[in-house]
Amino acid sequence: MTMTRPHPMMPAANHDELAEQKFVLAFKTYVWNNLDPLLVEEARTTARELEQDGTAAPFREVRRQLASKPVYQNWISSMRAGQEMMWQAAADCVDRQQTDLEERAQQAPPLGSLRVDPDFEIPAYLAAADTHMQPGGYESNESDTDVRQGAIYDKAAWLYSLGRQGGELADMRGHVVVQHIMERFPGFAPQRILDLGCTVGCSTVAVASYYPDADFHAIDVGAGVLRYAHARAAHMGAAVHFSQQSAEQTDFDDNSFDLVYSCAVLHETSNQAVKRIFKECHRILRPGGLMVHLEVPVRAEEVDVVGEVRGDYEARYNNEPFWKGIAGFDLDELARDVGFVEVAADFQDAVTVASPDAEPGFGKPNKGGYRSWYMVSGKKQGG
Amino acid sequence: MANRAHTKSHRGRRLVPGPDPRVDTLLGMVMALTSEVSMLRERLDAHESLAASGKVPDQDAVDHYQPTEADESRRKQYRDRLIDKVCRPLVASGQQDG
Ligand SMILES: C[S@@+](CC[C@H](N)C(=O)[O-])C[C@H]1O[C@@H](n2cnc3c(N)ncnc32)[C@H](O)[C@@H]1O
Repeated sequence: MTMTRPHPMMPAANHDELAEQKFVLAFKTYVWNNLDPLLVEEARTTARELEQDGTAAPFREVRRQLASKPVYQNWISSMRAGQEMMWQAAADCVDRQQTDLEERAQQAPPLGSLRVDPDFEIPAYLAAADTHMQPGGYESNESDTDVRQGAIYDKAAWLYSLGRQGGELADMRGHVVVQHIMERFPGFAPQRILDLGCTVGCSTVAVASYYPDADFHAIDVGAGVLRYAHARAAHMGAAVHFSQQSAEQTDFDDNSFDLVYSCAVLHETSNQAVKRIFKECHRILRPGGLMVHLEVPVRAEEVDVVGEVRGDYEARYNNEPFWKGIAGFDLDELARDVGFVEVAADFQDAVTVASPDAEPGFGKPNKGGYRSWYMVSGKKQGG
Repeated sequence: MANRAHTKSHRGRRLVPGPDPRVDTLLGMVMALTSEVSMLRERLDAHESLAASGKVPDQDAVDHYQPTEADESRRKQYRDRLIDKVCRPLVASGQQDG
C-alpha cells in the first residue's frame, strides 16, 4: 500500500489518507490475531456444553447462548467497525478527488463500450441491504459521469482482504478461472466471452489478458460501478463491452458465447436467482461453450461450529444473506439439470497467474479463504 | 464531502446482540477516534522527518510526504502500540474467568 496508483483510475492517497487506511488494516489484523482466537474458543466451548450424548446442538441454540457472551458481542462489533471504517476511509479518499477521477474516466482510451439502462431494476436481494456494509451498495449512481462507487470499491478491495486477493489489482479470481479452464479444458480458446457480475472489472481485465483477441463482454447491476469498470479496463488496455443487466436475464442472443463465467457472484444472489443464472448461461452459450463459476470456498458439509459462526457473521452483520444458502447448494446437480455435460464442482488452489504448465490445482483439499476457491464448470452439449 | 447522504446509508444494518446496543455504538466511536489519533501521530512524524532534513513542513509538503521504509517501521510500532492499548480491555474481558 503506497501513495502511487497501480492503474490510472485507482484513487491515490495523500499522507493522511494513507495513514488512515493503514490504521484500518492494522485494526482488522489486530481483531483477526487477538479477538478471533477468543471467539473460536468460546464457540467451541459453547457447542461442547450444548452437546447431548455426542450429538451437536442445532446452530441456532449455540447462537442463542453465544449472544449473551461479551466475547461474541465484542467480536461482531469489532469486525463490523473495521468494515465500516474501511468504507469511510475509502470514501473520504475518493471524495477529495472526485472531479479528477471523473476527468480521468473521460480521458481513457476509446476501448470497449458502456451501455447503461436508466430503467434497470435492481434485484430485490441486492436492494434489501448494503452488501458488505458498503454505503449505497452496488447500485449507487449519482450522475451520468459518476464513478464514485466503483472507485470506493476498488480502493477498499485491498483493505477488505488484507491484500490477499491479488495485491492492489485484487484480480486473483480471474487468474484462477483461467487456470481452471486450462486444466479442465486444455487448448480451449474462447472467442466471445461474458463476465457475469463484474463489479469494477478486477477479474474481467485479468481474464481478458489471456484472450486478448476475444470479443469481451461484462455485466453488472450498477451503472456507477460499470462506468468505473469501463474506464479502469480501457486505461489498462482491455477492450471490454460493459452493460447494465441482470445475469438472470440478459439481452444476448441464444448460442452466442464460447465462455460465460462469474467470480464470487452466486453467493450474493438467491436460490431462485442461481437457478435462473445457470439457465441463462445455458441459453446464451453456443454448443461446446463453457460455463465456469468461482465461489468462496465454503461448503456446508465441511462447516464446523466456528465456520457456522463466521458464516452467520457474513450473513447478518456483513450483509451477505445468501452466504449459507450457496454453501449448501448442490451446484453440480443444478448444472446437469439445466443441460450441461462434463460437469465438475470442487476446490481449486489459488494462483496469481495462470499457466498450462502449472501443477494441477483442481480437486485439491480446501485450504481456506484466498488459498482455495470453489469452482463449478460444465460444457453445453454439442459443438 | 464525507457527509453526503448516501455515505450514511446503512441499509440492512443489524443490532449486535447484547444488553445495550449503545455498547456497539460506543465501540465504533472509540475506534473512529483512535484512527484520528493514529493519523495525527503520523502527521507529526512527517513534520519531524521534514524538519530533520531541513524542509519547511507546510501543508503541501506534509500532504505529499511519502514515508520511507524507516518511517514506516517506526510508525507501525506507534500504530500497533496504540491499537494494543485501546483494545487491550476487549481482550482482557474475553480472557477473564466467568
Ligand atoms: C463480490 S462482487 C464480484 C466481484 C467481481 N466479479 C470480481 O471478481 O472482481 C459481486 C457482484 O455481483 C453482482 N451481481 C449480483 N447479482 C447480480 C445479477 N443478478 N446480475 C448481475 N450482477 C449481479 C453485484 O452487483 C456485484 O457487483
